[in-house]
Amino acid sequence: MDKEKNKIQPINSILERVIDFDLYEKYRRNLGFSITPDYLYQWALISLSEDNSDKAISFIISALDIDRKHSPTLHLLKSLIIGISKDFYENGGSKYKQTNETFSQLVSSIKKKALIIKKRNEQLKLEITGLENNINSGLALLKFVRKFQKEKDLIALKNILIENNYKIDNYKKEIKKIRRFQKNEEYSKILGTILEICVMPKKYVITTTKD
Amino acid sequence: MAEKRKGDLFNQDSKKGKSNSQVDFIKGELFDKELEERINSVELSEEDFNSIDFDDIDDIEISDDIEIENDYDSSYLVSEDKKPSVEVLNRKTLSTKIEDKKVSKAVSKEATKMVKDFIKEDLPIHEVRSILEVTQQDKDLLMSFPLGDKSMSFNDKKELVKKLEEINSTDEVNIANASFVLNWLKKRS
Repeated sequence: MDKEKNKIQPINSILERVIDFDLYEKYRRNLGFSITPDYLYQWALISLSEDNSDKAISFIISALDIDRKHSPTLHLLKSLIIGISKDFYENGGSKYKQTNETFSQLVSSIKKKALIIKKRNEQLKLEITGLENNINSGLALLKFVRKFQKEKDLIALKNILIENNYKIDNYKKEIKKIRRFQKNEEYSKILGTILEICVMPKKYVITTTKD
Repeated sequence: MAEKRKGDLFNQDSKKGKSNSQVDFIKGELFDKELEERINSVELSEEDFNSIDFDDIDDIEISDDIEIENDYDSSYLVSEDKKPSVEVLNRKTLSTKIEDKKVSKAVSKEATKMVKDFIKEDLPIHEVRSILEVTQQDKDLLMSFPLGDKSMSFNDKKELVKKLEEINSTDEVNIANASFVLNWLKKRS
């Protein structure tokens, strides 16, 4: 049994070799230009600058699919991995990883806490409205007495409302942070695998057997 | 009006020589404990939890009393005039087999200009360099970072990190990559 290694080559190069030159030229010209790794690399940079990370990764894959050793793209891949890893640790990502919960579970539990406070706020608003109506009803003298008696409670309730809103705001910030870590994890998985395919290709070589 | 009220509350607190903590203030002597208990007794029932669409977190409204702080700096947003045009590279000069001396052409003039702008605006050069230089600490962090798929063994990962360190391009390309990555990370924070 002979073993033969299959090397993946760009479609364009294969077409250039195997079909009539005129036919190849006809379809190549339709684009008006030939896609080079440099072109795709530049698009990856542009996508990053527009905060379109998913698109940037797609361009990196396409560039390296044409040339696995394209150094600008490989270096961009390296910079992304280093940057994401630093970002993860510098912003406390490891602290969250120490818990037994996954990022999705963490997000759900924080959302629950935020929603409980939101419910409490609804009750709080009803209490405030009730108290305000009570203070402002009846004769002027009664209003004055009630205001004297209840104003402290009213202020305190409004303060709780403010405090609760701060808590909700903080929860939202925490969720945003965890979602970012979640995304970092996703990026590191795909980018790490792309890097492995390019620099340690042996693991990914597809071998076919011939009798 | 609402802002003023909020400010007044804090001022009352500080005038009394207490801390600015709202928690201290709400525990004032005259506060109605029954009222406090009534507010705190509100919990979500099982039915409530089941009916919650957790994707609705963004719908939680913040009271008008609170000024919501923007999470991002508008200067990080790429304005229309900063969006680069794509420079289509010439096939003759940039074939798929790129020689090292031609590599620098991979960064278009537009990208180079953007890098200069990033650095001029808010990207300290030492931060850019921190992306470029892989320290021992970075390598240690990468080893415990979920890199690649689950099938990657410890030794594979070690080799990958070693190979990662060896990847390099021209100075121009390296700085451009680090700047774009750093700028992207800052925009995300």
